[in-house]
Amino acid sequence: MSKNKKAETAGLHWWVVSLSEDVSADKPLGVICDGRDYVLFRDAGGAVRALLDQCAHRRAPLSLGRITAQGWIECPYHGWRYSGESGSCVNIPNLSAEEKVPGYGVDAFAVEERDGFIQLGTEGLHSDRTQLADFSLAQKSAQWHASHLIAYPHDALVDLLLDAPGAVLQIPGATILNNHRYGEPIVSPTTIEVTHAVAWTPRGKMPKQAQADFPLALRLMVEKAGHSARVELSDDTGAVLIAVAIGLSPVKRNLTAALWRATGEPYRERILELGVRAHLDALEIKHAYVYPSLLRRDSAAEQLIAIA
Amino acid sequence: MNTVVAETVAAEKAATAEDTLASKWRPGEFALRDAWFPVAQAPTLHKRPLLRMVHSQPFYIWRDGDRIRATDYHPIAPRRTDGSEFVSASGDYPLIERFGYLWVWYGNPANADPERMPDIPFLPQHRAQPKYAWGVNFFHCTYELVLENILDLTHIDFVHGSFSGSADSEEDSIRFESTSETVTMIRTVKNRPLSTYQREVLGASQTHHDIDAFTHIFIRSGVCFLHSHSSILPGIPLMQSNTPESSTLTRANYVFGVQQTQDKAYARNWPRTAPDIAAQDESVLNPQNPRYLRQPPRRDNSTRFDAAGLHYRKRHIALIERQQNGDFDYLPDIAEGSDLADILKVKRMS
Ligand code: FES
Ligand SMILES: [Fe+2]
Repeated sequence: MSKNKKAETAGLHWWVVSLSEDVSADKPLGVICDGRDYVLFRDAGGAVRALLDQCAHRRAPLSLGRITAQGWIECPYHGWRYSGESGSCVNIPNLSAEEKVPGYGVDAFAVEERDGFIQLGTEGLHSDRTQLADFSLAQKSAQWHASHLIAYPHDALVDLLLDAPGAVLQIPGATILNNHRYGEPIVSPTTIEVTHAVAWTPRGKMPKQAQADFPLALRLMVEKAGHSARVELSDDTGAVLIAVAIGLSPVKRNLTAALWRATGEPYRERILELGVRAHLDALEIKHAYVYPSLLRRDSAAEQLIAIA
Repeated sequence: MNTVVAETVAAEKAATAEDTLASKWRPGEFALRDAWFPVAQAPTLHKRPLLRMVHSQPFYIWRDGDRIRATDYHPIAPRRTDGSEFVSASGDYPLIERFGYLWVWYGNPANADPERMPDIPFLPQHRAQPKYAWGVNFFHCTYELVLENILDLTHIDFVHGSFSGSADSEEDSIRFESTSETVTMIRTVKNRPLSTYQREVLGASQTHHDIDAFTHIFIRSGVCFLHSHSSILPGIPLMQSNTPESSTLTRANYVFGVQQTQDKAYARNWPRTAPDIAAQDESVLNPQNPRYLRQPPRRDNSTRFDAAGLHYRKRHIALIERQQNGDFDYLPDIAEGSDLADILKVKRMS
């Protein structure tokens, strides 16, 4: 009954909007987060800055402009320049040297660059930093990363990840068994953890006979609000082969951004390239049962506790 | 061009005073009516009817024997409606062929007075310009933003720097005049560096020049004239239609008054820049549109350089208010004071 209720996200104002390597001091980057346009760029000191992507003058997108030698962002339409730190307009080209730049500006937002992820505080410069998500990974011998725009609503994507991780994630050569979980989901006030069996994908058809034991296990830890998730792929001894940190954020309409970084060790001489799919698997969505996702909603979690 | 209401802008004062009013500006939300729109170049009309729109109203333009008609239905399709208040009982809109264009009247047909058509001294009245002198561009935005862009000087250095040269001039002054229907802006620039385009493609050997640039817009129809006199380069005036097809599409039919220069090569080369210059404007106008269209009121910040644009917003708001109250008349302040050919400094062709 509470399954259509949006999970509680109040109080969380940080979203992953980019990976570190996508923000440069050469070219501004326009991103959309939760329906709002932002421009990201690096200033002269290399710090990532985020401003509302709308010039204070005639609303042109600053992301179509350029970054000046001083590390300011310059609007493409008439060249007004803004400091990334404060959002203040610092230069208007046609004004004479004696003329003072009026106190104009655009909204500036807090940015945190950590572990290769860029998180943006949508509450402005004073967004509460205690709410930053942790994306740190103990680095293994190989690293890979990607970001995808997925045509599926953010909140529903978080549910889907919990209910049918194989619809959202992929491991070439192996199959995540959406319907084969180890134990009940573990629910904390802010996260849900669930572990699924992973089988080698057979070359021919899947065998009819059930396998008793599986070579691999996929452990998912999803933040209830859906800003971040972690995935670990382990072998049957429990050794972690691959770890993935995923940032998820609503873009606009039904689009969701998935930005992730993975690190892993070779297993039987090869790397299992676990990652987020660029395109969701429709059949897996069709066959997904709604279960662990129910526990994102407080009332469902309370019921579970009551039953227990 | 007439000086019944003439204003010279001194400083930021004007910009800020008009700012407050201009923040009420709602582009793309009101269809100003009772004006002539040059929707098609006359030579583009062949056997097939042309479809043009003015404020989403369809205009089928076609030949009926010797006559050119503009109707609200396609001649081979049965007329499905009784027509709108913009057409006569036969479904015809008023139409006039002049200056090489087919002009249609959007508004009450009873008010379609040929006197309301602009005087375009640099175009022959009864003859179309040669093919190389005209064309069309589209701006995917509402036409008010295009008009504001046309009255906007400082974007030229940024958006069109490759054609116009950089902003490092000695003197740069702006003067504008307006009436209830028009806004005119004159910019005087001394010692402006020439662009690579001007030097290499147009063959100017000097490095700097002085310019008097003239911009004139008609608020209702969007028609504008642009002309600039350089101390070195020949000048070719431009008429651009900026027809509001809808709040997301402006059709800019353009034609150059190529007879104004003796330099035949320049007369052929300069019109070729039109699509590139338009693409530069489109790159900012298109993203601007959703940021204005049906958005909650938000004050734009301005400097003294925006005075003409802000003034246009004010005049536009005033015209809308009058039309909302059922007043579609042209006020006496638009009576021509002096000859437009003199103001533009062009040789009269008609
Ligand atoms: S719109 Fe940005 S400087 Fe004018
Ligand atoms: Fe322009």
